Amino acid sequence: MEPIDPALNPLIPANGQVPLSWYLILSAILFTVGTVGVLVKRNPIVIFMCVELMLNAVNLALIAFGRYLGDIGGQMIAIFVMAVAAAEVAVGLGILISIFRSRESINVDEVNLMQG
Amino acid sequence: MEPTAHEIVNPLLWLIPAFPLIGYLLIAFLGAGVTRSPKPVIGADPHGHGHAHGEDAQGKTEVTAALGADDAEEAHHVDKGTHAPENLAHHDTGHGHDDHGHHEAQTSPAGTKLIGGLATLMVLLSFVLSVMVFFQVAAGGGHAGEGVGATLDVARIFSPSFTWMTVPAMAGLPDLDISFRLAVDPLTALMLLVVTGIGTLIHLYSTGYMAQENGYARYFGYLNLFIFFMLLLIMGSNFLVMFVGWEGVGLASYLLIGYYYEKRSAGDASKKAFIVNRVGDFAFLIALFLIYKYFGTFEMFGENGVLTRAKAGDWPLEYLGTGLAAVSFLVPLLMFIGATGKSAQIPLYVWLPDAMEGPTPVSALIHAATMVTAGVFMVCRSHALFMASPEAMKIVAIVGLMTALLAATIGLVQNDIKKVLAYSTVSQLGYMFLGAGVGAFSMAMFHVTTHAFFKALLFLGSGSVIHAMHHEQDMRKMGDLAKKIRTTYLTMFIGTLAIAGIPFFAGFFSKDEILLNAFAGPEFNGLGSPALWFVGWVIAGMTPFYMWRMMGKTFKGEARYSPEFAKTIHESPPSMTFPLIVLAALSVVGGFLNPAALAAFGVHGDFLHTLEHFLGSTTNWREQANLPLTVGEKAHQTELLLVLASIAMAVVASLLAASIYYRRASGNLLPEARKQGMPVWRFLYNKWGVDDLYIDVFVKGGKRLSNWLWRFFDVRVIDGTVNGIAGGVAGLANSLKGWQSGYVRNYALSMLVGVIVVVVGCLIAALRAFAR
Amino acid sequence: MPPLPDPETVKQAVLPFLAPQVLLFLTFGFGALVTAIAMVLHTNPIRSALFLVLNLFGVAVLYLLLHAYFLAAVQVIVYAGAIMVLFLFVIMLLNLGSPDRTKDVLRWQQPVAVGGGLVLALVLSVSVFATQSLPRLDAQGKAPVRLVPTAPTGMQAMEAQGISPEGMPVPTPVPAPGGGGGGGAASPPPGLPEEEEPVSKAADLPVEEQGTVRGIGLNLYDPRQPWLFPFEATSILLLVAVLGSVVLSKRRMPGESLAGSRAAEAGLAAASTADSAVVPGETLPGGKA
Repeated sequence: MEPIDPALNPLIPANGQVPLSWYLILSAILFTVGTVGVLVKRNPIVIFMCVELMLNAVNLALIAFGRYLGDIGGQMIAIFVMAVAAAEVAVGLGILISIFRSRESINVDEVNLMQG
Repeated sequence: MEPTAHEIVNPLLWLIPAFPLIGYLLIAFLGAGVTRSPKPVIGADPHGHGHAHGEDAQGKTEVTAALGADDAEEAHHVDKGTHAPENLAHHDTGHGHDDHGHHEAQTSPAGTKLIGGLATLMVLLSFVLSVMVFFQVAAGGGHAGEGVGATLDVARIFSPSFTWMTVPAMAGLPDLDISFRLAVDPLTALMLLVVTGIGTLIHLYSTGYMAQENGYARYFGYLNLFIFFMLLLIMGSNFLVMFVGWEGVGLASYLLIGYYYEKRSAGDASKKAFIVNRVGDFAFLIALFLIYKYFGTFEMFGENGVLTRAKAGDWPLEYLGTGLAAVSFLVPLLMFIGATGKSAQIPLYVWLPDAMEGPTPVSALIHAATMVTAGVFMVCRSHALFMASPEAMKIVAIVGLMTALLAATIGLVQNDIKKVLAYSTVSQLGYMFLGAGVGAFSMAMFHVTTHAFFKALLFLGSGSVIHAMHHEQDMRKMGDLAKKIRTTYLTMFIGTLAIAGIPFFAGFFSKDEILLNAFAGPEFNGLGSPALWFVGWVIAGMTPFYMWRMMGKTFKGEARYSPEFAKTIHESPPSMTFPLIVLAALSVVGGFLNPAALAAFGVHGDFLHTLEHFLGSTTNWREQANLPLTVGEKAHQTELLLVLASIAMAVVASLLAASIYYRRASGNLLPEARKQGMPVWRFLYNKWGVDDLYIDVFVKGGKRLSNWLWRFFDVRVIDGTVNGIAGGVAGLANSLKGWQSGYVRNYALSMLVGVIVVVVGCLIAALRAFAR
Repeated sequence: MPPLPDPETVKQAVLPFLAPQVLLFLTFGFGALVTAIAMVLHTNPIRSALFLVLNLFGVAVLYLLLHAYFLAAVQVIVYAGAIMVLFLFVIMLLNLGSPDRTKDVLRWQQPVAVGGGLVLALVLSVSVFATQSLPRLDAQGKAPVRLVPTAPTGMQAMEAQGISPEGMPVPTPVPAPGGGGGGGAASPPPGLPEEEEPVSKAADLPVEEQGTVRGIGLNLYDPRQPWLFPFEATSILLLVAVLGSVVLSKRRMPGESLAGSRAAEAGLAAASTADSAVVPGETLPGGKA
């Protein structure tokens, strides 16, 4: 890695390129939005979508890191994340349908069997 | 210095304690099945124990049962002829054969014969072996040379040893490598003969005495167990084996005192014996710890043995520094406290009179002849340790004398025939300790031996009386029994002569020797003093008095029971009278083991000191075997004077007591009412108030302490802690309950909080690393 | 009134933001952010789903900017296409299209979650700001480090010591994996310094082509890189997921009971007795649709 020029603020674009920090911050914010969505939404489908958003944010960070470090691994892992996300959606929606069949509702507030 | 001992290894030694142990195990596993049978075919119902012990035991039982059936037929025939009166008597008292109580299986006659025979046979085998070993010891030892200056060579036979336990070195102490080994030297050989010989007689006696009792097998099992532990005690070649036996005889004693466990007093007495003994055992145990700390071994004999080194004055100074005197005082003192527990000395004697709740043969064997002498044996065995501290020796002598006095005075007023004998035993044990305390260890052992003869005789005789009186022990309800149970009377008469110190009976020689040694102060090459002698002499007058009082009250005077009852009184069966006769014979001749007192009358010869020579260095602390206690013409005159004084005291007290109690029809010296009015009588009758004192101090104090512990420590501290923790947890759980809402999204929120914490933590850590 | 800043300074300060890539990032990044927030804020699940589709598009553009062409395509086709269609399908299947009117039992959680989210975003951003050694690209868009990881992966390290993953000695030189073009560089003669040895044909691709289908494929199936095993594992995962979703959403026959689902069974029976009775052979999921 070349030596860092301390005068160069990593937050300012240089060489016509977007700095890595922007991607990371965007990724962090998207992730947070997804997190808050998971926590405040009560419709399980929307919660799922928020989880997808979080995964996307992580993917963005991964790919950005891979690009800026010159490592293809970031994209590779992103592929796996997508595959896992697809599997999760498939199973999750299956569960939702199953719950709906038995309860006529999928309101998460009604699913509190874990209460002690 | 320890003379070189001939050391012989003899594997047969293992068999001596093994036989009673085998007897115990056989009886323990098979006894219940063999004795429980309402039908002639014994052992036909093996289910009772088959479940518990598996197929093997069941198979054995059937074999044994078959043997027993054969035996039973024969035995029954004999029984019919000789035991008929006895059986009749027992029917009167309600010991019916058909009484299938819920408490314990009714015994079958054939089964009892088998069990009793087996138990007796086992002890008899031990006795035969003991005799063989005794002769081996006697042949191997002996003293080289005659007269003054003879060396004290003793033979010592060891069993092969095996490693019992190994504790690696720690805290500056050497490796603790304890071997399990038995050893027989003259001292042990003497005890072996006493224990197994009298044990055999008392087993034999018990087959008759206990014939109608429930739990017959239990009784003989425990009796064999006792013999086993007693043999371990006297044969152990190191202090730990001895301690195992020491504790074991305590256990057997506890079990046998509580034999009639349905009686509350018996249960209490057994507990009292056990607990009081614990106190002594505790002291003994500490003495053992000290021995290990300062000698680094428990082994008694051999080059590094504790006794060898103690005798050579080789107290390990490197451990002791300047504390030699203190430790060499503490070890014997603690051992002596242990001995006061087992041998019923002040302050721990209180259990022995209560121990008379056990069956009378038990009283004879354990609480008169053998176990209670274990303390004396232990002191004599460890005399090398005791001799290192004159203070400890003085304590032994004085405590012994005090106990003898105390017990003798209490014995003067007792009404229970066994209580009289119990206090007499305590008193005689006191004599033995007096002897040990003045350095006359061989005389203490001599007295142990003769006392075993005549006290076992007296106890067995009293058992015979009680048997004849259908379990009546109160002498006030006896009287005029001499003609009805003649053998018993005559044998007990001999026993009384022996204990009273009438010349040429067993007790005379041993007691006289002890008194002589007690008198002999430094000027006579002894450790005693005339004061000790005087008190002992007074007690020697009380002994015949209470003994003849007992005899008179029991056998003479008018019959204080109904004529109908008198018709049921019969002499005991031969199995009971035979031991009486044997013991009576021994009481007559036993003194001639060591008739040293005859020297005062001008008799000379080596035979005067047979036992002393035989015991040799195992009890004699003087460097030469024959170094006389008294030296010079003046000493001989003194000796003669003392012997005459003893004889006079014994004869006068005997005549006085006999003239009172043999004549009075009521058997009382004074009317009951007048006695009650006498403070002295009340004081003695209340046993000097010692029991009350113990109850006030220890029992009530213990209760108060326990109460306090209960109210404060248990309720407040322990329960408080436990409940507090439980309450705290419950409260915490209550307050945390809300966190478990059951909503997954709620849990996800806590995950978010956790993530924030982790990220912040990482950030802070990274920034700090960066700043460095 | 403060003096106007020097125009040259302003130009110097503004110019970097006017580069095309930067502008594209700003546009689509902002779009992705706004659509994400809109998705969370909307109460109607269908609209939320549509906003998520928009968000995914925006992020796909950012992937393009990062030269991840294949991933961008997958994002649009699989995510925004297939998965979101699945979402919408389920929403409509279960008739969840209308906003939820029920009372929130955990009302207090909403502000706490928002606050926590803000804190998290803040903390993450601060950690980005605090990191002073983020790598930068040069004007040609080249990353400052080699494309091949300098630190050997575990497998490479083993091979460097002459041990194959199977524990067998690896013959040197390593035969290049067949197929895939890329110049077909021959195996170097033995004795060349190791760092000059072309580790992979994928490494020969320029940066821009690393994220293409070809680049992804070359990297993914390169046995010298650690992606092959995870790839296969993922395929098994997907298979399991398919089976699982089939089992979960399969309509149960009357009397058929899966272990551990007795309560669900009871609820199902109570809820749809009529359905089951009328059409016992019905296997379609969601008989109500």
